[in-house]
Amino acid sequence: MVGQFDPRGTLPNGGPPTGAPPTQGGWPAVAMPPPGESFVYPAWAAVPVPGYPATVRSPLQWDAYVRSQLGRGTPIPRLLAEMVPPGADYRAAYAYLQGHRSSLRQRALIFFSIGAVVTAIGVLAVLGQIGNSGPDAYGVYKGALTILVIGLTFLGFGILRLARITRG
Amino acid sequence: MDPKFNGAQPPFGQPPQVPMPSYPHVSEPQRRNNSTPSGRVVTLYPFSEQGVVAPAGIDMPTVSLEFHTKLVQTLTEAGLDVRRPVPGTPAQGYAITGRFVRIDPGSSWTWFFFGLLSYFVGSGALEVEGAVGDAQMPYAQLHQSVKIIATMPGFRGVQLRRIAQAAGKGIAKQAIATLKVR
Repeated sequence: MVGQFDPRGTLPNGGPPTGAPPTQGGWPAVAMPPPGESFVYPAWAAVPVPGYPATVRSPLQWDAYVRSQLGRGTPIPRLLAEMVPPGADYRAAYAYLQGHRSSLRQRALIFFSIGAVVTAIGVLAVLGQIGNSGPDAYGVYKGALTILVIGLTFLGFGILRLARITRG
Repeated sequence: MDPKFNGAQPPFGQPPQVPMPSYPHVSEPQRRNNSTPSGRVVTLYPFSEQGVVAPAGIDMPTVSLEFHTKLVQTLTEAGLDVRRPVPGTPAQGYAITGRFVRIDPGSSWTWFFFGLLSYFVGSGALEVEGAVGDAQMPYAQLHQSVKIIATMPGFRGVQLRRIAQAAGKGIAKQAIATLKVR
């Protein structure tokens, strides 16, 4: 039964029959190791995975790699040398890197902007407390200081990110 | 009442009843199998660590073990017959393949500064991609990106294990959802 189905779903019921015992169909019944045993033992890890050449990065892996490198300030020519074989046209790769760089800069600028706005609100709130001697003045002052610290933290994080991102 | 229209055929407003065309080459109507994919054989290839973007010092065997354990557990709980591949033989039933994309434990110092807000700033993440199909072609791409707050110093291993389990569960759910509509 198991060996006769067409997995592409062209059978009337759209797939293999359910409930087939694992030993039918002529395939060797290879049970998974119980949880806790290693899934990374060499005999299993050495099985070639179809569709995934071992030495090629996938597009998602390239995205992640490029973003991490640009976030650390790796120069673009060095990344280009890694991505483009010698003699090949590098313009597409350059545009790809610039796109990721501008995306990272935009994200850092968002933190910077939020930090600037919150810091300004905090400063205004602290300055507004000057000369206030009401019964709740100290509590409001502490709240304003908290806003100021949060804003400065975001501002500092945004500046740090902007400073570390590779310059074009 | 006009005896010509004795209730079997409305006089106006609707077209005459036309019998549905029959398809003699199909013995039963085509429909998708939306039931639980219970009992189906799935060959789980190990998710590759080739090309993964991870900082130095990541305990990849532990992350991989937690990920695969949770993946197999979730698939088995859904009633699938999960098997590991045999070198030199084609995949049995459906095949699940994939690779780790990115593992990032996050920045510890952002945890100090931002606490729970480090989910947005300097967060940790684990990203996995894969495919479910048969030995010839994939049916659907799988992609799971799990994000967590930045890891506290000293708790990096715990956080990574948790995030690996979440990614394994997510990938398994996507695979099950794909198999349900096949």
